[in-house]
Order: sequence, then C-alpha cells, then structure tokens
Amino acid sequence: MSNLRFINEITLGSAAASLSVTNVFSADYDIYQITFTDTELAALDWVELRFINSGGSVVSASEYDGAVLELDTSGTYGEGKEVNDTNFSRLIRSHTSEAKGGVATMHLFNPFSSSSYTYGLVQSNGVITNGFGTKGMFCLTQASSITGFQIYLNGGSNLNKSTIKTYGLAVT
Amino acid sequence: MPYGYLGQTPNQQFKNSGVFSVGDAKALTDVGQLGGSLELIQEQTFSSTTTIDFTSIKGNKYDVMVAQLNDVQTNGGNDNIDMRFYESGVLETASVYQYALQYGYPSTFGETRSTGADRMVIAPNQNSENTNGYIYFYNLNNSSKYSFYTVQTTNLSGGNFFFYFGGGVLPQASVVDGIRFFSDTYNLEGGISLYGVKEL
Repeated sequence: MSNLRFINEITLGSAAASLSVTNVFSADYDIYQITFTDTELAALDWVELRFINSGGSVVSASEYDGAVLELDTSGTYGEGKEVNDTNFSRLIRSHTSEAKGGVATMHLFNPFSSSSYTYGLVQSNGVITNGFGTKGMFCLTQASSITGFQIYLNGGSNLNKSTIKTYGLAVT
Repeated sequence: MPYGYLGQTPNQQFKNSGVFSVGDAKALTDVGQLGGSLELIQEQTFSSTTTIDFTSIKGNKYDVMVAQLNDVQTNGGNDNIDMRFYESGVLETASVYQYALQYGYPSTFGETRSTGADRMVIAPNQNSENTNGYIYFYNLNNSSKYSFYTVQTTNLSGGNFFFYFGGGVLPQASVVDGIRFFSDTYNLEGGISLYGVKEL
C-alpha cells in the first residue's frame, strides 16, 4: 500500500477567470501532493496561486515569498523572485493550445496548521515556443489554517481548461 | 457487510469473518477505499544491459506516472543515462525531443538544454556511481497532447555529489506507449520502478 491518498479532483470544463479547490486540507495530513494537467489558457501567461483560508476567504495579503528558476529549452534560464507579494506568481507557464497545456506537480507542507507557515515546492513543464519548465518554492508567511487554493492568470485572461488532483501523504 | 469493525459492533444480519478475502480487497481497492493512490506498474532490476524498456505502461489508466531510479549506474565508465519514448510501439529516435536541466556540484552550477535532441537526458555525466531520483510523466497516452516529463536526480561523479533537475517534452501529439532508459556506451546496473498515480 502506498502512502499517497487521493482526496479530490476538479476539472474546469469551460472558461473561467479562476479555479478554486476548496476544503481539501485538513488535520488528516501534513503534506499534500497536487497534480495539474491540461492547463490550457486563453492567452499565453503565468498561472498564479493564492491560498484559501478556513473561513473560505482568498488570502490576498502581501505575505507570499517565492523563487523560481525558469528552465527554457531554447535560451538562458531566468529567475523569478518575489517577497511580500499578494500571490505566488509563477506556478506554471502555460499555453493557449490544448496539446501544449502545462503540467505540474506541487507539494504543500503544513497548510492546515494554524501555527505554521505554509510552504510549497513545485516543478512544472509547458511550452511557449519551445519547451519551458520551472522549479519553484514559495511560502505564505502567515500562520493561519489553509484549507484550499485558487489559480488564475497573471494578465486577467481566462483559464480554458485545467484538471487538478489533490492527494494527502499518509504517515501510516 | 463481511468486514471488521472498530468500536461498537453493529447488530448485523450476516456472519462476519473479520477477514478480507482477495476479492474483497480488490473490490475495495478498485473503488479507492483500500490501498494508496500509487500503483506499481512494473519494477525492473538489471546489471548487464544498455537498454531498459517499459512497454506495458497502462497508459490508458493514468495521465500521470512516476518512475523511481534506485542506485542506477553506468557500469565501466562515464556516460549519460538517457530516455526515449515509444509512439504506438515505435521507438522515436529522431531529433525532436526538447529538454532543459539545471545541474550543480560542489564547485559549479550549470545548464544543459536542447530543442532538437534525439533523446531526453535525465542524468548527465554519470560515472559508474549511483544515481537516484524520480521522473514524473504526463499525458503519455493522450493522442491530442504533447508528452511531458519533469525529473530530479542526484548522483556521484568522480567522487563529487551532483544534482540535476528540470524536464522536457516530446512536442508531438501522439500516443506514447513505452519508455526506454539507456546508455550509449556502457551497461546499466540498478533498478527502476514505474508507478501510476491513481485517480481514486
């Protein structure tokens, strides 16, 4: 028996400004694995992430720190850094084509704990003109109980498609 | 219901053996109520081959898979550990793969990338010392999507610790139904396990 436990799957079936995954983090697990597939956008853009707290509110305070290495198959790698931002702004770099839709696996640590910061690691891949991946890490520097998250686009365009699956890592 | 209980015993109408039969376990696993969400598709251990093929990957069940590399090394000298995909049973050997990796070791960090490679690199400059790591695969079985991978490995080369991370893509909307790991020059030794990430 593996210790990866399926919690939830959400598929965005039609275009929307954001996609929220709610009530997936609980006292049952400390660490979560989340996969993103078929992330197709209305415009070439960065997919951004915000957390949702136990009161159901999107956390938009300036308390997100993050760092991302941008692994471009056709050019020098870039770096993205943010301190006291209102979101984690470089989750996946994705495309308008269904075939080229971005993918990622993200791990979150201690989201539900009201006495700990929430930390995340993500590794993504997608296509701009050529292949374009990322390796990122981020932290919500706010000790609050997080129960979900929301993704949306940096430039305000719609998400056309995305499938998000959330798993807990059991300790038994 | 022929299963065991914790706490107060219900006033059930059927005999309860308290033991799961093979059929019980399979039925519960199939609906996601028993077992974890990783399914071992195939595990291979090897010691004297330049190629390791996974050709029964159950792609129609999983859109995400993960391979774990366990103490994989080139046996006899310095070479990359590389990877190619099978498309509908045919190994893709054309210069169509794209990848971008970051590496680091005690004195230097660097980049290795390509937009027209005949392979996907997962552990460059391996030198007869163990490589461990994991590779996530996405969309392999989907004929309308590109096939992506992300990778993180560590190894020793000449006594120095190395890490590599990054990923790549086969930028062709095709059905990938097999994975080959290989070395151009030396036999490979070690083990690779391929898992499907279940959706229940």
